[in-house]
Amino acid sequence: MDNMALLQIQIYTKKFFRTLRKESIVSIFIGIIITILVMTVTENGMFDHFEGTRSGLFSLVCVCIWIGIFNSIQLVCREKNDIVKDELDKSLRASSYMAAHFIYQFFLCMIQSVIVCAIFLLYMIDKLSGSPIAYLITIFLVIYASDAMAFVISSAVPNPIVAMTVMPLLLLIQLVMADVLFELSGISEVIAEFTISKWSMMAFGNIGDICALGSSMAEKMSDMPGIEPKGGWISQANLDKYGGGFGDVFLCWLIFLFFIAAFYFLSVAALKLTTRTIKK
Amino acid sequence: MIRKSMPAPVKRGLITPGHGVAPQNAYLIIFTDIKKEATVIKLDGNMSLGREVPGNTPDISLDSPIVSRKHGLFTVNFDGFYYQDTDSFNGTFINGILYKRDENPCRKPIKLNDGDVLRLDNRDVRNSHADAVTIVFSTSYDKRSKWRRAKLKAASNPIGLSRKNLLELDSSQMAYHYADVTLQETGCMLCNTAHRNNIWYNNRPMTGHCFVRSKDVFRVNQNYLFYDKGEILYNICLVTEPGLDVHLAETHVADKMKKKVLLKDIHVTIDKGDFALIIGGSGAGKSTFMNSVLGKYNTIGTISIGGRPTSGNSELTSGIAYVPQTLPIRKEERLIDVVTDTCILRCKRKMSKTQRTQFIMNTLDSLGLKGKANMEIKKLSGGEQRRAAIANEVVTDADIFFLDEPDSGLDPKSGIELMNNLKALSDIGKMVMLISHNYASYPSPEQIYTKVIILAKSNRDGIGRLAFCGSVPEALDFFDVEALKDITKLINPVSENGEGRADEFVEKYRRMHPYG
Repeated sequence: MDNMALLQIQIYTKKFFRTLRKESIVSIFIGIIITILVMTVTENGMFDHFEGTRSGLFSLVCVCIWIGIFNSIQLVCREKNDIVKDELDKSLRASSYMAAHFIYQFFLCMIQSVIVCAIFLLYMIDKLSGSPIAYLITIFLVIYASDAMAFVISSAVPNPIVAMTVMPLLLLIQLVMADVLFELSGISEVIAEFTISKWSMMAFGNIGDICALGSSMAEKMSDMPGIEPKGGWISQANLDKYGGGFGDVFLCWLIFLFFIAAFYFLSVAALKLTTRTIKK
Repeated sequence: MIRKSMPAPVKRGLITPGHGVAPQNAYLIIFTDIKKEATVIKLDGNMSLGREVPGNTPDISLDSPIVSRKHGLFTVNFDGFYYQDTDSFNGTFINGILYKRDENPCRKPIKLNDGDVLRLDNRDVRNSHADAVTIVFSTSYDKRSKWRRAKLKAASNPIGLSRKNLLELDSSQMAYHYADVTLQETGCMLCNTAHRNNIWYNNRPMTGHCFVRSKDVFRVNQNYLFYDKGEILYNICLVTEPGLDVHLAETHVADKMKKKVLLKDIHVTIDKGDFALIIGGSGAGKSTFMNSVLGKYNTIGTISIGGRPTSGNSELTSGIAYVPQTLPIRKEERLIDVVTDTCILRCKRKMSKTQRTQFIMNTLDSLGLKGKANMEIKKLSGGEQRRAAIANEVVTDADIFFLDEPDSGLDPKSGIELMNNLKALSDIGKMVMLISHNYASYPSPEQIYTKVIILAKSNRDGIGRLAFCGSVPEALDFFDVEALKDITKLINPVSENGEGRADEFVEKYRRMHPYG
């Protein structure tokens, strides 16, 4: 990276701190409302037994992904045709432009993750299992990776209307492929490996050690001894996913970092591809 | 001894007026010995290069044993000049690459670009021949240049604008200390101390340092420096560097898999200090012409800036300050922030923070925006926003400004103010070219614009062509009208309330300027 690239990153990061401040405050505010709403609904079942905790953590994952995607889904596409293309034609490098966006979003996601984590911890103050710091790091990485993913879409699509049309599809894939709502097999299992939601669930599940909480079914059936299914109330698949301990959490963090780096390069490539001067 | 045979057999067979691109002036600067002056020959047609012997008289005769009798051939085509090594024994180095007879490339003519260095020497250049010849191909060489010679000192030898330098070069783009030459045993070490892209070695930009051998030529801006035996022979340019030279045979697009020609036969030269107005009816190709120069269309022909072709030099076109119709600025930002960022990132001049602030404030002041510096762009009026977009380009210190309808939507008073601002830019030596539909509402166009470029859409094939390029009084005379606004009426098609005489004027102008 040469001096000009560094200078461009520095200038554009400052520029984004100036121009995106107001809408970031709105994003933070909306994030607070959504987190409070979701936590109010899901707090009862959480950290009491496996099923309720898994559902609650899945809701937390959805909140984080939603916040991340909405942070950046329109940022590039709305100024791509009139401003960024002109700047790229003159001297700006796509890699510097995207790097500046990623730096700005890093700080925004940090603030959002502290707020989301604080609300989550406030709701779970007397029953939380797992390290609050681990939750904070995971929430940050999930929001930031989702933010980075939305940058790929924003760089690839021509305008905000298309971006907002693609966005629900992106969310849907994350929800369906989280390996929570549906049993995944075959090609869907392969696709799930590339979703943020799957690895987020795995990270949160392992931090909270949710398999150790016991199943709600076991409580319900406690007065009927002898009908416990073979292998216990929590399936082996869930034990594999959420019972791996901190080693699995660390693996998930590394995967998030890989996602963020990959999304950066993909968004740079998408921006270059869609703004290149096609000799008419 | 170098001799250009007389009479020179000028063979213009390859130039067809029908294809219409006349190559610009081209020169060969021939260096043989440091003790002799450089010989400059105008390349005015197909010319052979070789050593004169009885029965063989080449057009350019070089008296050196390293040169074959029939060494090479310079040819001219509609898109430029070419060189072909014609079975010479030692071959020809072009920009350091050897083209020799036992390899295929020498069979094909090589297109020459301004500043290309041809060297006739031993095949092993490390063992340079004492009679080796170096030839520079130049389309930007000013024949009024004077040649000087300097003996290098044992220590470093600075090159730059200041008289303190051993080699004092004169150029508007020159830094006070531009480069440094250090004498070494078998040559000298050239170091680019200003770290700008204005030093070329073998016609490639040299930003760090490189070793210069005996009989090598390097270029600093428009100055060619020939090194040999501890001395340097160099030229001093007496006039400003050339401006924008456009020779377009055609501009075309692919429309439904077919080639659709949009512009044809456009020959325009914009000099420093020119304020050129482009006018023409709708569909005449005004914006297409600008975008062709900016490299956004497929073109056939040559476009050069400062004597250097833009083809393959994207930094030349990216250095053009272009203000499109849609303003490319973030309206949530304060004006001062926008222009400061642009100045830091794109300004060619090196400035301290204080100098930069002063430069920016002067720019805003000259465009009547000083009092608005701290306002957000979106809070400025339409005219102020347009001037803000122009200020954002002015702070790059670009030499060429393209503006696509900068006065659209402005009231006449604001339009006149804007024209005066742009005129002030051209007055300080910038090249300003703008498209406008409101020119008729400004008084005294002959005092504002130094040049008017008139494009007209042909009634026969719908292709935009050049109907005129010259001063405003010349244009009025050419079209025999009282005011510029009457010209568009003459050339516009009948369907657009015009007289449909576009082809008549295109043909008249072509007859007057057959080679542009």
